[in-house]
Amino acid sequence: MASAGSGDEKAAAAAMITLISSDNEKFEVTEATATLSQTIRHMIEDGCTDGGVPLPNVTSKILARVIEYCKKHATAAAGEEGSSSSFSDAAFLEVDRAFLEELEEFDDAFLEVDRATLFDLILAANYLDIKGLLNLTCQKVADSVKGKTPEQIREMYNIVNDLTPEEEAEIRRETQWAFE
Amino acid sequence: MELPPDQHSRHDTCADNVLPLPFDAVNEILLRVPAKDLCRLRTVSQSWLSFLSNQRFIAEHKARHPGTHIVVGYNTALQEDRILYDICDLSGHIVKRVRATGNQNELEWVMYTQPDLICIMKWTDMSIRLLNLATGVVYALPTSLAQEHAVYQQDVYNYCFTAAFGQVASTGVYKVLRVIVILENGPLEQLYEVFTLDDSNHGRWRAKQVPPYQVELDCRDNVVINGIVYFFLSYDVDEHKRRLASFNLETEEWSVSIPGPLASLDDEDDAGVLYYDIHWSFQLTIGALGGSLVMACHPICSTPSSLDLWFLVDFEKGLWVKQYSIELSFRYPAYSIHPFLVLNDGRMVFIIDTINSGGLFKIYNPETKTSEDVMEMGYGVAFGLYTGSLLSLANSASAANENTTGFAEGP
Repeated sequence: MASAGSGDEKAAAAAMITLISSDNEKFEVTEATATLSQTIRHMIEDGCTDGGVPLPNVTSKILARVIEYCKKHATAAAGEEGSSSSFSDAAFLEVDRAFLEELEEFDDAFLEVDRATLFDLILAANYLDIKGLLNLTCQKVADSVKGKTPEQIREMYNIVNDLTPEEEAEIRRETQWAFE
Repeated sequence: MELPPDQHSRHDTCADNVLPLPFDAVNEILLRVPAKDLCRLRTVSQSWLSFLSNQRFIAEHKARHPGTHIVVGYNTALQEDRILYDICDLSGHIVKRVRATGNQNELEWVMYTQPDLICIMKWTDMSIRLLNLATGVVYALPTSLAQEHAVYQQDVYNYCFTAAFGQVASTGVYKVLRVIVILENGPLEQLYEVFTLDDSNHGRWRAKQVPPYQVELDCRDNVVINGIVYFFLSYDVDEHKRRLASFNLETEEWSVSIPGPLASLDDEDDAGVLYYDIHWSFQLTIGALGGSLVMACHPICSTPSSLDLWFLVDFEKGLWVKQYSIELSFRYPAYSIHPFLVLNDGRMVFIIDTINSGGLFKIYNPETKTSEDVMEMGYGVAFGLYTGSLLSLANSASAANENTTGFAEGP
């Protein structure tokens, strides 16, 4: 993802934004990191970030993780951009692949969290509109749903089965193939 | 400035009860789960059922999971457990399986297919139904013969028929063509009828003029391209002399018949003699590849098999061009190879009837000249394409969907 892209690249890269969590902790981040969030990007464009950005829906614990993600991905994006002009094609591809591999490893490690944290990350990614993080976390939940039986899902999420036995039998009969 | 909480989520009470997340996130998660899992998870709770049955969700899921699916239609008499049709992906996995309902003695089979549509024949009353696999709408065609043919009506066991259907190219209206064979002693007699799926029919079959040839409307060897039904003529000649003809669904007229590409191989001709020396017997099939009528020619029942694909370039002139000569090998001898489909990446899909194991899908890559066996699908009797969502509730099992109007208003 590119940085702000105005004529004043250096100033933009150096600009810092303060994010304030729901428990009032302050986080200083570069604009390049903060603008992975579309929500914050729009606020910067509207000039509404003086005095910090309060995020009443995100705790400091989750915000720290979100910033960790954004920093890594902002650096990767900047690195890719820089490399494209200064390396030969072959070298560029090599660097590019190394970046992608490193990023993939980072993402895998990043997702090693309990379910409550994962859901909090989804809420934050959704609220802050960070596409990459939302995709990553939603895919993790989707993968955990695949192959599960209805009973297992109810158990995982404390869901009460409020279908009547007749309704359940009817659905099973109509989509018997899905249970085989 | 403080952001309004949850500015970006459309809270939905239904989504809340699916997973403890906002609507957008629940939507995003479930759109990533394969259709087969989702169909099963409809039984988690009322909230899951309603979320996963929502038409908008189904459409979005379809857009996220594109891909070609193949419909394999069966004859319930030949299938265990009354399986009527399967929907398979190109890796050969069955992603949806639908069984015939009704009582055990009611034999049904899939007689013909068009994309997303299948024609089901019920043996007991010779009735046919068209089923829209994507919407679940069923259209039951009248069982009675055309008024002009009423004299043959007395007993359903007096006749049998085959049918093909397709869309009129200019209007998109579906028409069904059926060829009725009278099963009485004496010379073989065929009757021809057409049914239009709109309001103009008054719900009846119409008799068509008799063409100057015998029509073999075998469900595997006829194909509809741009509103024209192509088919072989009589079996009563040497295979290489078999001719083709067509029926235009719009004008409802029969074409003249044309020779196949091998008709010029005269028995005394050098090329012809050579051909017979090598291949004591061969088989012709027809199919549509990339919108062209294609005739496939291969030796019958050989394991490594050379397959020639002749494309019809000009119907009026009967002009065929051999565009491919393919080498395929089989574990079991193949007795017919049907050209079925060209995929977007240029690979060709063939349906093969083998002697020991029923049907087989084979995908051939013309660039690498290699082929792979995708799946063995038992004794499928009709094959088609499915473009709808696998989450669609459509299911021939539910008689509640029976409908005699609005069939053509499918997707």
